[in-house]
Amino acid sequence: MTDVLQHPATTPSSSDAAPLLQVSNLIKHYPAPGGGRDGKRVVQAVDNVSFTLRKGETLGVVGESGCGKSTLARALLRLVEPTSGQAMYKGEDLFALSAKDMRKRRCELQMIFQDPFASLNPRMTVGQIVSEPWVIFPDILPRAQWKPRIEELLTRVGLRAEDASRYPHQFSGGQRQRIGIARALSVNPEVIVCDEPFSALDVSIQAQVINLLEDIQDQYGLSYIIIAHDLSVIRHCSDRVAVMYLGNIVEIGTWDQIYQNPLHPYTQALLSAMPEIRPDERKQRIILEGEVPSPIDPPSGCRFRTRCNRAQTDCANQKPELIIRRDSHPCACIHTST
Amino acid sequence: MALVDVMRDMQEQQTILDVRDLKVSFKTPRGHVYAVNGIDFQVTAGEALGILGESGSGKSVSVGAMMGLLESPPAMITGSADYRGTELLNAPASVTRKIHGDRISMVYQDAITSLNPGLKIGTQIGELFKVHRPQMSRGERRAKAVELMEAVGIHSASERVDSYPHEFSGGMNQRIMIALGIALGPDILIADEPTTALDVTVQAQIMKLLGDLRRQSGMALILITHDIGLVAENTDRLMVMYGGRPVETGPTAKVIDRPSHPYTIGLMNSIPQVEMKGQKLVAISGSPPKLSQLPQGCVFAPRCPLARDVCRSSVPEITDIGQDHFSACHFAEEVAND
Repeated sequence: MTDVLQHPATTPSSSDAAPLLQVSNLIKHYPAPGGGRDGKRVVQAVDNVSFTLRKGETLGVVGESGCGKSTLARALLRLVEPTSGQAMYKGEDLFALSAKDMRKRRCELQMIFQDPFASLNPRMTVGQIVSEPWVIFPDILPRAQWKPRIEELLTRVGLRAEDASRYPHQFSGGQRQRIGIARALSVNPEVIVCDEPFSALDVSIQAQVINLLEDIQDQYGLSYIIIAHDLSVIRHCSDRVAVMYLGNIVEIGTWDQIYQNPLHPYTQALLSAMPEIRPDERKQRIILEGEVPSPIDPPSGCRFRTRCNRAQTDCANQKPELIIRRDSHPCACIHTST
Repeated sequence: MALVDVMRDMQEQQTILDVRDLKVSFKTPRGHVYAVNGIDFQVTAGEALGILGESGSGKSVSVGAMMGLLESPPAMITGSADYRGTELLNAPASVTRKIHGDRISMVYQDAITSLNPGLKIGTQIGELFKVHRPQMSRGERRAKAVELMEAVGIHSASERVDSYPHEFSGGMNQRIMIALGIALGPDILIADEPTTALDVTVQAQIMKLLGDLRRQSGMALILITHDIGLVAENTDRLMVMYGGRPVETGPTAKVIDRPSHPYTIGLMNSIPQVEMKGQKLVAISGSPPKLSQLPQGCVFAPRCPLARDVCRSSVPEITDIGQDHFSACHFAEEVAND
């Protein structure tokens, strides 16, 4: 049973646990270029997205460029201000907090970024980077303990204690991503939002960083939201998976529901396009025609209908709800059962 | 066997590109960087060869040398690359001009920076004919541009021939790059990470297009990528590179079914496959070698779990392990039979 204990989020009992973070109807619209001052023309980057994150679990968010997955991550931590919606975390709505209160909350909600080259200040040593949060939040750690704690964090993420005095440019991409992880851990977070944490890394290095993120999740009981476009990475890391298309979640479920029994035609096309190491094991490939429509003027009704092989006239008239279909899991397609 | 079959067999066996002991190093203010350290490969008519490697493995530099894309100095290129009796390495421009872009053409990773933003698509395709087929009239060039755009799946090509690159999406620009690549009916098309910047559903479209074009025209394809899934699905033969050397070559299916070099095995284990769900990935420890300070023996020895003394002192020869399958490991037989 030790194996089950190490992966608490995969046991049925904990998947019924109370949500740690509950996001409802999150909307983020940007003013469209040339949209005029009244802001009537907007880019609907994230439109009406709801989901929950439970303690200790990893929620994977997949989708292609422009589907709104990175905007979702940024809006959650209010790195961009959401247009509307609610994000309940420990009884508080994150989106309603004052800037000052949100700042405090950010200790518990950390982020790891895609580009390990751009997200570290080149003029600070690694020790300064990892300890900078303690300058901002002096209550976390008395100054006397900074040095041993920096060393502890660096060794935890697989670097050496003496690396504290080196600069980011002296490290490889994978090592820089480790520095980013150490910085996120320095404030003892509960939730880490990882935006494409592996996409700048080579395959052999990617596996090291995936293993590291899993280890620290087990050790500290962290919850992750991992945003990525790589379907095999998301399958490996996630307990549950949300699939996004043009600002909407089109399907959400446990990893095996999504990968073994995808219900939404977009998920099916996406999974069939995934290159397989053993091509003979693949199912029929669905090649999507055309391009993703503009989020400024998305199709009425179902946003996927313009590229969907199952689309009928009623798809244009009603917005499909993200509800449990076929007794399995939530899917936003009205023709799921046909 | 019918005569037609025999003739086709002969044609298929015909080697059109023969690269021997290709070495490329760069002289930099901080010493020599050894990017490619002796590679041999052949391309036969109509086949698809995959070159697989991570960043810094020398996969792009080796074709860059063949295509005359490296300025010398600082690049120092030795060895030979024989295309149907013509030496391509260090050859005068008057010789290579007739081959590069015409008989051997190239598609790059980043379409939008490879196309001229200030020229209409039709003009850019036409330019190729203007240089290589000066006898064609302006009208013929335009007609040919439209025909090529249709061939790569761009709808209403006769109108869009007057569009600029920024008016197309990333996937469409990559189609235009491919149109440029196949315009003169080359013998060999080199595609250097042709889909890395694209989404997976668009990647599926582009790879299907490349496959269809190859079957129609009988051209050979060299696919350079870091993605094992992509070479598995789209190539006949595979060369795996590490630290500027080929570590394993053979029929793609064989290399993937029975990887026989510790690096290839490590790479395969690093990729999250469905069987590995819930388990730790077996990552390759350490990081790739510095090309300015290559290790004395086998380049992979510092990261290899099987390395012994001989690996650290002598460079392994590429060894035939049967059935057209080669591995550059001192213990190739042992590894292959494991």
